[in-house]
Amino acid sequence: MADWSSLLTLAFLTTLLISGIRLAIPIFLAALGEIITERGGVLNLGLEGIMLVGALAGFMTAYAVEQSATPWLVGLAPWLGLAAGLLAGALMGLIMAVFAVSLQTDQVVTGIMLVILGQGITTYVYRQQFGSLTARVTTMPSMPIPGFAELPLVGPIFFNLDPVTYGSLFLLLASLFFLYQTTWGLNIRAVGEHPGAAETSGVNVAVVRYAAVLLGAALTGLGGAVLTVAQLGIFNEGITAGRGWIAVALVIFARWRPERAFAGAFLFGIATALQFRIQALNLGAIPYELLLMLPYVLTLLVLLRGDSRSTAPAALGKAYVKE
Amino acid sequence: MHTRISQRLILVLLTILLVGCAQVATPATPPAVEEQAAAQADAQEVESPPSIALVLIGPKDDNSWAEAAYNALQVQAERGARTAYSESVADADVARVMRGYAEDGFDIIIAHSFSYQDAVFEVAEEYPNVNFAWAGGINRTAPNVADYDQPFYEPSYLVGILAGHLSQTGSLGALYGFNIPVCHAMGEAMLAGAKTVNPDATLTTTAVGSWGDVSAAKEAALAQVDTAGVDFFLGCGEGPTLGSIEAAREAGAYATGYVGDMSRLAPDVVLSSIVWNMTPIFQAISDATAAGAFDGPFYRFGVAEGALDVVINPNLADRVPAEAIEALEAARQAIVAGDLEVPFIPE
Repeated sequence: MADWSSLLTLAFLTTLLISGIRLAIPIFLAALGEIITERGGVLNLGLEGIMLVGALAGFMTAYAVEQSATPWLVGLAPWLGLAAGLLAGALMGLIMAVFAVSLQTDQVVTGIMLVILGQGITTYVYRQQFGSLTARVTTMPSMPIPGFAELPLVGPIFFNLDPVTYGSLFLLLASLFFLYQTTWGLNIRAVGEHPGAAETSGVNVAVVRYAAVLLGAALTGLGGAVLTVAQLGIFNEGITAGRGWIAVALVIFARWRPERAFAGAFLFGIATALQFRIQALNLGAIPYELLLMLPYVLTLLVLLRGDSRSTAPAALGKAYVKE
Repeated sequence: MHTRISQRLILVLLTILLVGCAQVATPATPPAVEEQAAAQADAQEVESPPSIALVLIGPKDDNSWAEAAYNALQVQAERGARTAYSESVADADVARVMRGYAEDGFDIIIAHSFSYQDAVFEVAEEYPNVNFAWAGGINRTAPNVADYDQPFYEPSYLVGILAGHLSQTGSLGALYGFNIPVCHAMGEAMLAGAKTVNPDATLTTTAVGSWGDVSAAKEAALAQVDTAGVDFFLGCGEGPTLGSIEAAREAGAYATGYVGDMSRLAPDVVLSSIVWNMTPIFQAISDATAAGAFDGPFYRFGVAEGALDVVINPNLADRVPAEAIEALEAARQAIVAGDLEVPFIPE
């Protein structure tokens, strides 16, 4: 049958990278959100639940807008869906913040509660609203950049993506600027490292932590909405299928740095797309179970290397009690 | 320090408990027990049919696996049998749910999942006067436990005949949750069916690694399009099937509904669906119980018994050439008559 040389054609590499990017974006957005949250000292393990809520909120909003059939509004349906995902994520973050920051509950338990809440509430609402599975929304079309999209290899990969992918790249750069170049970013990192010291220099720890948790959860909800509104066009119970947990792990292996999380998510997506292609080409002797492991093993090995200086925020997971 | 560690341990244990409880008490998936006692039927008939309780692993209206069993239960209810069901019962809870039905005096309890295996044999031993059945498909039975097979590979052969006619590239794709015998046999049977029409037909298979991950399944299906030119899909499992439908929409290919008519989901893409009528199975269990002759059989109901079939999406019927319909009908009749045995290739 096919041999390994078929992996080196231009068409193969192009579709591989595009598929990898699609698989990476929802995980990257959730991981980016969690980095901001954890940099502020709050460990939010509820990503899986938050993504699910974002996915359903985005889907239902886009669906409602499409059904309303208001001509000027219908074209905006995916965008409104993404906005709803952001907002729903922030609401889930508010629950987390009230418990973890104000009531100072155990953050691990609170995060897991959010996962269960997200799973339960999305299943319940979806079944109440749609019954069985027939609803669908129009997904986002790709956005070719004139003059560049026609170039070989780089054209389809970099200049013919859907707007969500461009947006994610923008969010990566924006988050780097935000965390390392602005006072707000400095405040977030300060309350994550040493909230006592931050407080004495006039930073309101509770307010900053609320902001970090809400912002992080909003990005996580956006990641869920991308899955349903931009990529699939349908919702199904448990649609995130563990992506929230992968994002939690990715934050640790990325050592709380946005650019490393992006690289990790991208690598994970590419490896997933690659192993599906190796399976489809039936390249002989590799058992499929090993191929299914490939994305996890590869991402882990690559991210374990390098930059061992940066570590977890010192106050991560600890409630701050004002003295 | 030690107290802190033990506090953490307690929290972790509480969390595990919470997770366990939540799966029972999730508002969306209540083990809703609905009784449809038919008292008026009792008054008229001499004897009402045996009562049946059904335990489902998913929601009763999933368009697929669980719905097939629920529909057969409704037929028994219409016959006047006392029926009850529980939805979305986790493996850890199923023994408790089944004991409840046994204590409630149900004559028959059907555990509609392969994963209920341990629980069904455990509870069946405690209640020798109650008859059980489970979705094993591996011929594991007990004196009061029947096993019913799911030979989905038989209708897959019929789907293959359609694929042989309608695939432009002759390249067919199968997506499995995991590469288990039931799935593998479906893909190979589809290929065998297609080869009766197009001897050059090929099959590309992928194990997605999940039964529920629609997004990964879609990418896996698109990978088949990109590398092998697949333009006709068959899915084994809900996630792989939904993913293949979404990929088919994008790539202009055909997809196949899995254990339920999925043509409503994507009317322009789902050419045909494998459908499962479980009424013959439920009827056989009910009749054997009523006659006092239930001895834990292995029911093997496929296309010949009218339990499995293929339905063509009416919206796409005009694209199916007449000779394809004729070939499909001929193959179906040959299976029913016993002249055609669909090849079973589990690995």
